[in-house]
Amino acid sequence: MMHKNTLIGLVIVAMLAAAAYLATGAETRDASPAADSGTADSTVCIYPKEYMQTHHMQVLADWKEHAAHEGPDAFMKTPDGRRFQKDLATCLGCHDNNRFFCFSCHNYANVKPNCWNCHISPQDLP
Amino acid sequence: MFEKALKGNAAYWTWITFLAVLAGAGIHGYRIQSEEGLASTGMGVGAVWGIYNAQLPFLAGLAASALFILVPERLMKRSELSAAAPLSAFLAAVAAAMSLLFIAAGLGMPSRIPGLFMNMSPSAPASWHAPALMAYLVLSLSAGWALLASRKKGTTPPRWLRAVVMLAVPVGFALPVIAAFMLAVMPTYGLWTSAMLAPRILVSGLAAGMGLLMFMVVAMRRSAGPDEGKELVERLAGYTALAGLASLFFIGLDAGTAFLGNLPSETYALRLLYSDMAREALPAAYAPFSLLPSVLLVAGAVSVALLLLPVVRRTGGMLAAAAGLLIAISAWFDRGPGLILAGQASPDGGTVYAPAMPDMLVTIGIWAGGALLLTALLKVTISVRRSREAL
Amino acid sequence: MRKAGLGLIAGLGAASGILSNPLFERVSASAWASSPKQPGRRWGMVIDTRRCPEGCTTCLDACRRSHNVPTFSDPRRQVEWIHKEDGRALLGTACATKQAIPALCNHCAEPSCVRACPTDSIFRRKDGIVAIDYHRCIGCRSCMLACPYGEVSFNWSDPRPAIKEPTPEYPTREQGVVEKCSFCSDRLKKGLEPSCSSQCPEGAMTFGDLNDPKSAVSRLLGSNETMRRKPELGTEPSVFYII
Repeated sequence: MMHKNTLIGLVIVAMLAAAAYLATGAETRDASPAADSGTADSTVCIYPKEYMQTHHMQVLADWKEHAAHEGPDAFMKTPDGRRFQKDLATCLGCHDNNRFFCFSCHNYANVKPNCWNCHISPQDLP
Repeated sequence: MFEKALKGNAAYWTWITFLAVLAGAGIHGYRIQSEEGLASTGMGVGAVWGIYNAQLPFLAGLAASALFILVPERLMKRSELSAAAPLSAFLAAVAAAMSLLFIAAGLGMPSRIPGLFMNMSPSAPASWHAPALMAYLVLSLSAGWALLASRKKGTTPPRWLRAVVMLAVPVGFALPVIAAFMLAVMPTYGLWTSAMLAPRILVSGLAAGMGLLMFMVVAMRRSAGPDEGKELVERLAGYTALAGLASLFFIGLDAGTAFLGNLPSETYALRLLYSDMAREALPAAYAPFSLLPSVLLVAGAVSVALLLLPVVRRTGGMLAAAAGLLIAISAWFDRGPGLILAGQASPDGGTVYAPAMPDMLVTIGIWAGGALLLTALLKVTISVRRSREAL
Repeated sequence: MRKAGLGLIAGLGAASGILSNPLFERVSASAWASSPKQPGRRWGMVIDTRRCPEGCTTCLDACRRSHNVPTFSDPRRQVEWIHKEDGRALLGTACATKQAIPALCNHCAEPSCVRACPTDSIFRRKDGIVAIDYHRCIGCRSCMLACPYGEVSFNWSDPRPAIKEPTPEYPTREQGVVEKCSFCSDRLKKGLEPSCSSQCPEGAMTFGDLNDPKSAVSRLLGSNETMRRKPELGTEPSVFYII
């Protein structure tokens, strides 16, 4: 029994060592400059503000799927009849008065979404 | 049961350390690759797939070869194959595990590997590759383990094992077909669009699997003392010879069709492998190895001829084992680098793939990891056998 | 000589709306539109190589700029959505011209890249555009090998440093995914034409709905003999060339 535990321990240690070795190579992105808390005055979002605060990731995940696969047909209709093209540009077009819109929360919560690997972040714009 | 892999003599531990160092080198290579991207490998425009993908067809055939032992042994009560059954199941499991690692190593976005299982598109053969390998890995590993456990306890293998083997049959035979069909969607590469591809992968995998199995049984007999192995080796040698013969015949059929039809892409690839043209057309890195494909082909053919001699099969000693090993290496080149790397070369010129340091290291590392896993499983098998003999 | 043979069989294309076997084809707009295989819209392009001046790279530059396509100097790392290549290499020996003509993704009706993709990241949309979901691509490069035209590129390293003047409206890609021409589906969404065809100073590129008999592309196809790349493979490209 002793041997079995030793073995499992060894395997775990080896795997951790390999993972740690690989992870040290990972790029550590600097947190963006501290956000000054400007208030977004985008009046009505596609869902209530409270829902968006907790569920915007699900909404964005759904949007990105539809936007890529349906292209121009990817529309979302809100209960009060407004139509939105599913596109990150739609979000940013409305939330464009605050460059820190995404970042102030993400920095605070130390969340690093991979959106900006490809989409050009408002922070990178002059 | 696995703790038995932790007891061994100095030679055993030296071998384990050696393999572990090579596997570590592979991890180092992968680190370089993930930092700098696939730009650090020998792949690029004109050589889109490299040595990672070049292992996949061979390994698919090797994995499927276990069915030719497990099905007769489990489902048709051919008890003379019993000693080889756990070994062949473990060999298949190792081949499937290595395939999965090679797939992962060749991806540009390894963080999205779950997508291979979540976003399947059924009409694309490549979609079935990773899921089938995963299923086969689980099936063959559990079959091998259950066989070994029952042998240790001296009981008959559990009944559910028959269901596992029955389930493994369609999955296992699908592997060479998937490996062939995922190349068949690429219309410009002559070697890959042959309908002979799936049977050739299966048959050369069978020859390699039986050859390796024979090698392992002979080697085990030398270290564990003679036991029921003699008849088994003769039988395995017969299987290897027949599969090798079929494989050679298929090679001839494909080559004959290519040259009689004067098919440009096929004949170019075959000339690149087996003629003097290689010297000029290939990158300088290959110059010392330009004869390797021909040497391996001849070595494989001679080994098959040797195993066709009843004397060699009956003696079943080191000669037969060496022939089995050579056939496996020959089959690896034929259905591995020879198929993918030469098949990818275009007659219109352009670059031919030559490995760089990271892809070389990772490939060696994955093979060492496979050998490590197989060594440990073999060690357990031998220990179980010894403990049975001691009773 | 070649034209004579063509006129005779021009009427036979009714089943598909187009003649898929001969090198030169004349499309009958009404037959194409009634083709049951392709209901709805099918975007396509006609490139008049006679009007494409040697040495001009306006379309290539427009494409590179508007889609943040990285510029790598090493030919083994090249990424391009549209490029110019010797006409004979593109269209075969029946193409008399050896001048460089533009080549881009053909947005085939039977795309082999789609059959090669293990994660459904590359797919054919309802409007005929073969699009890539860059969120999903795992970078296995099967589509690159499957494309008989070599129109899919891979980001062998991080593309961002290789983008000279980024266009903020369009995303970049990241290291490890493939990319290719999207027929400017982002611009189509806004009612704009693709950047290559809209910026061509000679009007050599015409973009439009192949299934609409009244569109400019259909009229051009009806009044000219055209070629497509590697028609023998049966991929049914949506990009046509007037020689």
